[in-house]
Amino acid sequence: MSEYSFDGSEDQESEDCQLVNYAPDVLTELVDDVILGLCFDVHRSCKMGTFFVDDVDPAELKEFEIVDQVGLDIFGQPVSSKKQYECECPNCGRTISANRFAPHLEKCMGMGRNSSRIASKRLQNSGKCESEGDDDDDNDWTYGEKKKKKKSDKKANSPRQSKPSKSSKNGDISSVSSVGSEKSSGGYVNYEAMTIEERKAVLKQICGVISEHTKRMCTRSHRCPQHSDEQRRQVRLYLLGNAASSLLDDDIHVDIDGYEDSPAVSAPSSHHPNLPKRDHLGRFMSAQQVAALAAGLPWEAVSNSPGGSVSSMRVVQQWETMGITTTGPASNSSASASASASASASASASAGASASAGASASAPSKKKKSKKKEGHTHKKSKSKNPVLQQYDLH
Amino acid sequence: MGTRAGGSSCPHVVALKESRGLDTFRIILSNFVYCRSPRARRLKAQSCICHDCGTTADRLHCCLDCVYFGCYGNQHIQEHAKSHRHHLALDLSYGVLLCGTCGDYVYDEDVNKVLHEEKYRATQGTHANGTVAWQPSSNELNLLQHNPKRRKITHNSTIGLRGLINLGNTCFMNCIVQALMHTPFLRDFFLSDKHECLMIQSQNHCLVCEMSRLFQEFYSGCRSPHVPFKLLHLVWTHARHLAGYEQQDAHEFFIAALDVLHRHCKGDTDHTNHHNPHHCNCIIDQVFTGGLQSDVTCQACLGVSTTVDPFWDISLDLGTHLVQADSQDILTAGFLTAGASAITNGISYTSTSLTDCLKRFTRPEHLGSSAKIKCSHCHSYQESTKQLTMKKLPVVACFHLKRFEHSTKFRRKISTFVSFPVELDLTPFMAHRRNGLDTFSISPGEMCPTPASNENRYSLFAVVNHRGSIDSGHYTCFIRQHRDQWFRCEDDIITKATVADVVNSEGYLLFYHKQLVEYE
Repeated sequence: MSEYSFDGSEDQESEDCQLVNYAPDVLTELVDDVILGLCFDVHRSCKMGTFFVDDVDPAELKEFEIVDQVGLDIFGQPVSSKKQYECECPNCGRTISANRFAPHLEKCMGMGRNSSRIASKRLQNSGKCESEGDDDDDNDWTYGEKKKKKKSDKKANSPRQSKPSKSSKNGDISSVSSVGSEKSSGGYVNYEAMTIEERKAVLKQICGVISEHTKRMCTRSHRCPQHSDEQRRQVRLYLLGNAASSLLDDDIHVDIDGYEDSPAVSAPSSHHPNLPKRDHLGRFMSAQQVAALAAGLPWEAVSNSPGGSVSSMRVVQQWETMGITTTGPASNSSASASASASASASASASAGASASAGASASAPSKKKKSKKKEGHTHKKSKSKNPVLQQYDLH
Repeated sequence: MGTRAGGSSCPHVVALKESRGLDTFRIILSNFVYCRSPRARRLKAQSCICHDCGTTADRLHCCLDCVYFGCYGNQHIQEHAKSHRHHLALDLSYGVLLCGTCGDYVYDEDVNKVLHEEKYRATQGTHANGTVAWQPSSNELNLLQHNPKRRKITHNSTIGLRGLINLGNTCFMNCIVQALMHTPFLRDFFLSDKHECLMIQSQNHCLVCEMSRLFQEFYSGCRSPHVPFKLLHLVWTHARHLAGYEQQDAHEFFIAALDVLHRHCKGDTDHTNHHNPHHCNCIIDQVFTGGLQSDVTCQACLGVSTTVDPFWDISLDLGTHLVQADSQDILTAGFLTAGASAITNGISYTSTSLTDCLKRFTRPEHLGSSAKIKCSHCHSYQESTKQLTMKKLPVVACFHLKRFEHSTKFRRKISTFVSFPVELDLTPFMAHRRNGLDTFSISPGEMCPTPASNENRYSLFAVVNHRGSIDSGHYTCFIRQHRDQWFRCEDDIITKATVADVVNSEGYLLFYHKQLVEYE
């Protein structure tokens, strides 16, 4: 750059003129400098043997090109393809269809309405009194229940504001600390290691039916809609042996609705001692038969074999195969009562249908599937049973 | 080409190194190429001139064996090399060695090292001293040579885009994940592997690690949609209030996710700084946290008490209220809307814009006689006005349009059209504007007088939309990739979209990215 001086005497305008004249030169030099730098970079990479690193495989380029056509997404796949994806639940390890993962996880982690978390918690606190609210959580019918959760940390502008019938969900979440629920998710009952007394205690609180898949006991309440009363009886007999009868005694009581639904007796011993009792066919029963029912034996067993000492397990099985529920334990819900009512309607109806008719009153219809399964299995063994012949009339 | 990696030296350089070493080279570099001081720069300006033709441009070189400056264009340096048998010369722009006898520039490992050192010394304290370009080592070069298939993310590539399977009403989560995956700052952070997991005790449960894995999934080039079941499990484990299979709010999920990520960035061993957001420098805070200044002015003494609170998002009132179709009265006073009114079902909603909402948000608000606050200046209970302005702008600004109204009378969704720009300047809503003015008044066409208004310019890069009613609906989102390409993401289906599609959509969550990000 040639020199110039900032002499105060110089005319300012001519100074600026001179500077302006140099501006294109300055720009040219700057641009040249930048281009030179780029050239050196390329030259260096060629010399050092790293120039090829930047190469791209044209086939790969083509493969990953964005597709912009109607009916296709950017990967070229049709928009309406219904591919099913699966994933493994991190909680239980089962393979679940991806679209159903969220509801599965909810139950798995014990956060939904009908999950076993509350019951498991109940088991852990089996020495203490249970709050009545726990049972309410299982029940869909309660409206306007107490909102256990403070809404302070929920923004007022979320579309997910609790609706009255669903606020129980939020109640569930808040009433159990995360520590508690994590414990309960693993808190299933190890019935094999328990003594008779322990089993009795546990079975007094929970449904207890042992699942074929997981070999675990159902920890829901006695009104659990997924299992029928005879299943509960069966498991009690299985686990407690002959001590079962006393257990069943304690649990028998009646509600008025159930009584109205079925002309049959729902073990009315406690509530209506003086009224004549009818069986499920509407026939009056003798005192002996009433007592037999109360003891969990079918009255036919009493009448057919005066000795009365029929193996209760076999009898119960017979009853089940006929699709007839006995006056099972804890039959204070409408489920068992209406189950027995519909059993009286027709024995040929699958147990699934009757159970589901009863169950639908207190559980969403998604339970029906499991009911039907039971019905079908019952149906199969029906024909083999000689006792059944007496009921072929209806 | 085709020489071994690590340098392509020539015998003359080797001879120089053995005989004299590289001191001369270093001296010339520090004085005439990478000048460290103004004095050196002046010296360079005055003496860098071709001794033969007097030009100052044209690729000047300096001879290593004697004091000679020669240009390349007029062959002066080449002639000097031949005639004096001074083989090596130094280019004065970049310090590269030219071997006149071999006829080419040469690159020697040791010479390169000296070059780097001098450059580093000269540019210390300036922004030019930033990142160093990657040079592959010989091992890496070997690997690259044996694996010739390469994938490059061009402007037309699907790499970086991936669908997400809906796990059962999880569209809200999918939309937020898409927005986060396309946040440039986050993408760069995770793809350069900068996350160090501090969750030592429960590393499997770190949501930040899961996010890192998600980025890997998105950039894997895999075209089938990703099933984010692990993410869902982690979020439900760590944000219990969100858990449960039911439809949820995308905004709530966004805040909860940021909160969990923020907690996990700090790890699980140190619990002392748990609720101290000001002392955290994790990536979430760097990207999303801004400062909201709240000024309460006492009406009596005009004393102002100021607090600055951190924020991750700005929830904006739409301001529109029901306007009876048959009356011209506007029920709420104090807001301006310029725009067409749409009449739906006999009720008219006036459309508004994002800037209108922001103006309303930063407007001074009279707190009313029922909310008298004790002024710290005059120590009396007085009425006051409160004003919110932005003190510190986050790198990513999220605007939440309050479309879901929960009043005592009804719950409904406000579907008013809110226009939002692709480029947004947040200067008018910043705190410094308020500091100089008593009243906050801004006319629509007023530009900020400060010269550096580019600093507060933001670009839209993600829009989350809600379709449906307050009880049930579906979330979809638009995201921007490759500067000017927009895509519509609806769970596992991704299609190309136009800017017009984006700007005409309803808009529920708007994500803006700062255009100029400064160094710390």
